[in-house]
Order: sequence, then C-alpha cells, then structure tokens
Amino acid sequence: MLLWLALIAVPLHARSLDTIRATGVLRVGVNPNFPPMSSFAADGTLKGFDVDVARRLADRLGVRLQLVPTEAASRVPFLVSGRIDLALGALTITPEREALIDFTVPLHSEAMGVITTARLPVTRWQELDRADITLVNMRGNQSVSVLREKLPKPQRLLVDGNADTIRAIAQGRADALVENVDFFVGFTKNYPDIAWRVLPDPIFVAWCGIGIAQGNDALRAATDAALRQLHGDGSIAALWRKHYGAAMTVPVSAAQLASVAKASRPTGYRFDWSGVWPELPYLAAGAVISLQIAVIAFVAGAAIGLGCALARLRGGTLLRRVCGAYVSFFTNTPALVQIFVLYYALPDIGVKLPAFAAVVIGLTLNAGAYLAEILRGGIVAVRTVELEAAEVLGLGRRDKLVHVMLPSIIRTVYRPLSSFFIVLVLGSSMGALFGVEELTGRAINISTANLRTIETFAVTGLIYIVLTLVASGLLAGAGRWLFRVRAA
Amino acid sequence: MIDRLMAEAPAFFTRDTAAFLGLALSRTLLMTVIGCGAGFVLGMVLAVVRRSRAGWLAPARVLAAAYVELFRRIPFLVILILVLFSVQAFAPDLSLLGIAAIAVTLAATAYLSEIVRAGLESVPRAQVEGADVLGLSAAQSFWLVILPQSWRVILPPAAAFMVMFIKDTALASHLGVVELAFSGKILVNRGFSPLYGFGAVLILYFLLSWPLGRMAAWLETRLAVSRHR
Repeated sequence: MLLWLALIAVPLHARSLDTIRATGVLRVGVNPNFPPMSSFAADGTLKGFDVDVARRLADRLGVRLQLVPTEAASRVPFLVSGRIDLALGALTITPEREALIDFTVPLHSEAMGVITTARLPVTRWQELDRADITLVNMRGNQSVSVLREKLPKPQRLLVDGNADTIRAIAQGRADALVENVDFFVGFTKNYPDIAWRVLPDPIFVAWCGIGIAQGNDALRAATDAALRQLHGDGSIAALWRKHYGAAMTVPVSAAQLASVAKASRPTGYRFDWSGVWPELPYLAAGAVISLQIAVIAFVAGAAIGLGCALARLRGGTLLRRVCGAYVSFFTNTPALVQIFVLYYALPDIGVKLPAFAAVVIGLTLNAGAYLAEILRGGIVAVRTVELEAAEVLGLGRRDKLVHVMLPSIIRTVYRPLSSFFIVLVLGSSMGALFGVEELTGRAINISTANLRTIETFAVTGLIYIVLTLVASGLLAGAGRWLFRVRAA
Repeated sequence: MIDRLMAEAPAFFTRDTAAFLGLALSRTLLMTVIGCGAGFVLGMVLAVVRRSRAGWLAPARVLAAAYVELFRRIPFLVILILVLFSVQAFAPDLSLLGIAAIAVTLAATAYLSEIVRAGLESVPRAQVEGADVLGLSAAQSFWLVILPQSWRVILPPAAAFMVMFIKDTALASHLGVVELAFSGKILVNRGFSPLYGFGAVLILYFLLSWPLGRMAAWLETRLAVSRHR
C-alpha cells in the first residue's frame, strides 16, 4: 500500500470560479462544533457567523451555498483536494498554511487571551507560566505552537473540539485556556455554576482569512472583492455583533483590506516523507504507551472476566444475573461511547478521571465482558469424560484442577485470548480521541503540525502491523513452550 | 442532578431529538450494512483466490494473504483516517458516510475473508478431489460441492462479526459522520446532561446490537443442528 501511495501522482480537483458558476454551487467548509462560528442548531441545520458570511459570499457570487462540515485538521487537505472551495472556521493565516493554500484578505481578528475560573488567582497572562498549571488546547489550532513559545512551563492537555476545552476547565482537568477569547467564551454558558473569568490583556493578535486552493486566483479575487464590500458596508461587523454579542476586539484595518494578492500557482499534493522519519522515535515511544494500555486492560480485564465467568457458572441467581447483565451491556455497546461516559459524564457526579485512566478503565471493562465469555467457553468445554477419568484415577480436587481442568481450559482459550490481546492493542488507538498520546494520538499530533496526514498515518499503520506481528509471534511461541498450544 | 434531568426533560424528549437520533441510527446501520456487505463479497473473492491452485494466480494468492494479514493489524481508526485523506485525490465529492463505508469495507474484507476461508476449509479436500474425478470443473465444484456445505460454517461467525462491527463504526464519529456516537456528543455539546445524550445513544446501540446478536447466536445453534442431522 505504501508503494502504491508513493507512486501515484495526485490529480488536482480544485474547482475554478467558472466551474462554481457553471454548477451553481459554492462548497464552503465550516466547523460543525464551533458555536457561535458554526454549529448544528436544534433543527439540525448549521447556524452561526461563518454560515451567515458564507451565505452572503454565495449570494455575491450568484450561486447556491453548500455547507460542508469540516473538522479543523481536515480544512487544508479538503481545500487542496477540492472537496471544498472555501474554508472558514477561524483559519489563521500562517506561513505553514500559506505553503499549501492561499488566503483571502482577513475576515476577522483573533485576539488571544485567557479564559479561566476563580480557582486560579492570576491577573496577567504572564503569571500562567508555572509548571503546576495545566493549559487546555485544541489539536490543530495554531495557538498550540504559539503557546509552547510564550508559556513553555505549564502542562498541556490537547482535546479535539472547542466545547471540550471549556468542559475540561469546568471539570477541573485543566486550569485555563489560552485562545481567542471571543470563540470560546460562548461555551461557558453550559456551566453556569463555575465562576468564569477572562483576563483583560490580549497576548497577541492574529488574522483569519478564508482559505482557497492555490492557483484558484479568479475565485480568490471574487471572494476578496465580496469581502471588501461586506466589510465596507458594515455587514461583517454587524454579523459579529449578532453572534458574539459584542464588537470584534480588534477590527480588520482598511490597509489590510486594500492589499492585493499576488497570482499563485498550484503546487498540488506531492508525497513528502521527510517530515515523518525524524518523528519515528516519538511514534515508537507512543507504541510503547499503546502496548501499556493493552497490557493493563488485558490483565485487569482477565481478572474481571475470570470472576465473572465463575460467577455465571457457579454463583447464586442474583450474582449470575448481575454478571450476565454486565456482559451483555458491555458487549452490545461501543467501547468508544463507554469511554465517552467515563470521561465526559462521570465528572458531573464528582469523579474526575484523567484521559489515560478513562481509556484504560473503559477498555478494561470492555475486555472483562469479552474475556468472561471466552473463559466461560473454555471452562464449559472441559469434557466430563476427562473429569470422570480423573475421578476413577482417584485424583484429589487440587490435582484434578491443576492436572486436568487447567491444561484443558488453557488449551481451549489460549488462542482466543491471544487474538483478543491484539484486538486490545488496536483498540488502544481510541485513546487518541481523548488526548492520550499513544501511537495514534501522536500520529494525529504530528500530522496536524506537518499537514502530511497520509504519510504520517501510513507509517503509523506499519508500526501497528510490526507491533502486532511481534506480539502475536511472542504469544504463539510462549503458548507452544509453556502450554503446548498448537499453532494455527 | 435529578433537578437538572427534570429541567431538561421537556427539551430533550422532543420529536426533533428523536428525529436527530433516528437519522444518526440509520447512518450507523447504513455504514455497517454497506461496508460489511461489500466486505463479505470481497472477502469471499479473496478467500477463493487464496484457495486456488493455478500457478498464474500465485501473485494474487500472496497479495490476498498479505491483505488479509495486514489489514487485521491496523486499528480501524487509522484505516478511517487513511481512507479519508487518500480518497480526496480520487473522489473529492464522496460523502463522509461513503468514506466511512469504504473504510468499513476495507477492514471487514480482511476479517470476513478469514471467516469464509475457515468455512471453505471445513469441507474435506477429499470431496473436492471426488468432484474433480467426477469431471466437475473448478467453478462447478465450488458452487455445487463446497459452497452448499460451507455456508453453514461461514454464516454464524460472519453474522456475529457484522453485529460486532456495528459498534466499531462509532469511530467514524471522528471523521464527522453524524452517526450514533457523534449524535450523542452533539447533544451533550448542546448543553444536555451527558446522562441523556450518552444514555440515549447507549440504549439505541444496545437495542440494535442485542437482538441481532441473539439472531446470530440462534443461527449458530440452528445451522449446527441441521449440520449434525
């Protein structure tokens, strides 16, 4: 697959202004989880500042608007591929992005400030540079690298969505968010019991433009013209006030609007592996964390599973019912949603699990249910003939267990258990969605920085293959040596 | 907490919420059905290729074996991300649901191929040799001798796998497919108590998975009985 990926030249699909006019549809990428920029309203449609701006832009171009929900990390690849014509969602103008895409004149500013709670007694952002503080941030946001530079000491917690940042502070997982205050303060409404505070002085101001594929000059010129008009007649300022309830902290200046963009040429997508190889040690260390998660969940899950299997075979009615309910609940619902509950819902009743613990506990409970089934099958499969033979031979309870039952059980369950361990290694990748920096989480971190997602994840996939092949090999070898389990 | 649940109840138990969750449920089901359906067909092709004896198919045998072996060793989340970004080059207009369905297909093909292969191998070689002696072609012996006997071995674990994959499609929420798991997260982000948002989603998954799982188990006992008759 790697070879195949490396050999193909990727065609360009960015749609020109003519194509957009001909098809009558402008495709605009907006973030679906970013109120008040854009989010799904109760009626299921997207609403917000970006949505209103996009609609006005489509009107000016004389075409229909099609909104494409686009996560932060997908914006640049989607523009390059032509899935979307324009990318909104507070796309900060940065040199890294400018190497891959073009920008219009600024749509709005981004004044970086601090959102925190009364828990943290600071008055200026400089006071946050302490190792005992945890700053929360969103993956894929440009502020991540800025923070590392301006506030190097605090620990950081990376989450996936805007809402998750404020939730992390409300639940006490983090102390403060250093971000564009306007964008995030809206989420504090969800937690009215917390004494929210916004520190007054902005750390610095950045500018957000609308992203466009390189070489799409006519579309950029038309969008620039539309934006100048919308800024000029006060529409954008009015929309900002409508959605944010206040004026833009730092308005876009007339000089910025007057600047005329140079023509650009499409560079297209060429595979570039150079950004991935230096990260191999970082990824390999992540693989060790993946393995740790799998081992802990396997061992703890096996203990739960054994207890549960014995309880279902030998226990009283109530115990059997409870264990049966546990097994069917956990095997019939996704591990991911189980971890959602542990991570997002438990803090409401005062149980605050760190991401790593939530993922490990979720996978353990899940593994316990599956392993209970495997082990129960192994115990049931011990043949009565063998037990009777042991009886005839006059073996005691202990001898019967050690010499007859256990070898038989191990031979039955060893291979299903080994396969389930591999399932857990692969399943540990779910940790990435909660900010655990295991292999997949690290791959996401790398690819949001180097914007080389395919290359990064192809290498990551290979690491998983090697990791699980080695694990399977070792397990099969151990089975042969220790328990004389035959190979497949 | 009870107060909060009571206060939110009128806003949560509405037709809008039900419609939202229903649509999400249908997406979860659609991804599973399309992905596992296509995966079953492709998996069967791979299994047949791996069983073939013809010399000119040797490279295909190696590729099929490598595919099955490797794709069962990559996390579904990583497959999803890889498909999302590599599909951009070929089909930038494909919906996120379509992308997720492709990822499910890629993963399901590998797992179902192993299940099909085990089923095909449950038919003793001697029967194939017998069919050969009787002058049946390879295709005839596959359709008339092997398949009628092996589908009973294939179907129960294949059904169990598909039911299992319903839950794995929750990871497609990471792409932005508004399926069941994501719909729960959206409801919670809208300000509903997690007990409502995730509770509703967990119940729906259970209602989807449990009966189908029972059906797969029933299939197993039923087909096993008829096999020993």
